[in-house]
Amino acid sequence: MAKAFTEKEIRKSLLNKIDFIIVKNPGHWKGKIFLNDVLISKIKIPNPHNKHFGKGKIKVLRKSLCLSLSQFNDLINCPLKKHEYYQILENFK
Amino acid sequence: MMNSSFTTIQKTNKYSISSGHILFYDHISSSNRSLFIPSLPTTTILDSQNNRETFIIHSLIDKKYKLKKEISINLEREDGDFIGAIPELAIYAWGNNFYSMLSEINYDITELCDDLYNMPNEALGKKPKLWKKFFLEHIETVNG
Repeated sequence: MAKAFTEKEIRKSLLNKIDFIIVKNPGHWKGKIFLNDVLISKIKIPNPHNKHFGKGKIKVLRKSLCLSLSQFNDLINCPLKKHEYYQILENFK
Repeated sequence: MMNSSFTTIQKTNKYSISSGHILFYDHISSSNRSLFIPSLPTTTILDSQNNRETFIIHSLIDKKYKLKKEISINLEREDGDFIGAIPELAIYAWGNNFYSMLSEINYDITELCDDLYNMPNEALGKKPKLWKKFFLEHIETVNG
């Protein structure tokens, strides 16, 4: 089940745990995810709002992050550490 | 920013299909001046039984690329926002304005296309390789 997060919480966790190449567009920042110089995926980084981040948005975001729902929840809540996330990405290289 | 659309609607038992042109003002332009981009044709398939909508775009705002095949955008509504997504390309956008969401997706398509065409295949992971394949099947470059 999708947990309740705000855009701000998700943004903070993502920026802490993923080494994005960031493109700062006027709307959302875009983050490209590389692993050993190979492009794995890209996402739109949520804005620093306190607005509820609904399950529809979580679905499109977590798929771009190459994560299941439980892995996504763990990434934002903290149990999933940075190096563990990059281990998951090895499967998408 | 002003947007408008005009459509023709055909209804069946299950689906409502509308075709028309959406008129965009470029909200993404970094200049303060809104850029009028006329006539972006779309087709809408409304599956009311499953509460899903699909928009089919027939052309791109950036005229350096041309669509060989139509591209479908899935639409969901949540908390007053429109969420559009092209799952095959991991492209998505959301916002409280349907037209800005749709034009953002349209820009994202050409931006991703630019990125992928400028990267060698060995620098692309599994998903980006599939995105590039999708682009090669759906999009051609105008004038070469």
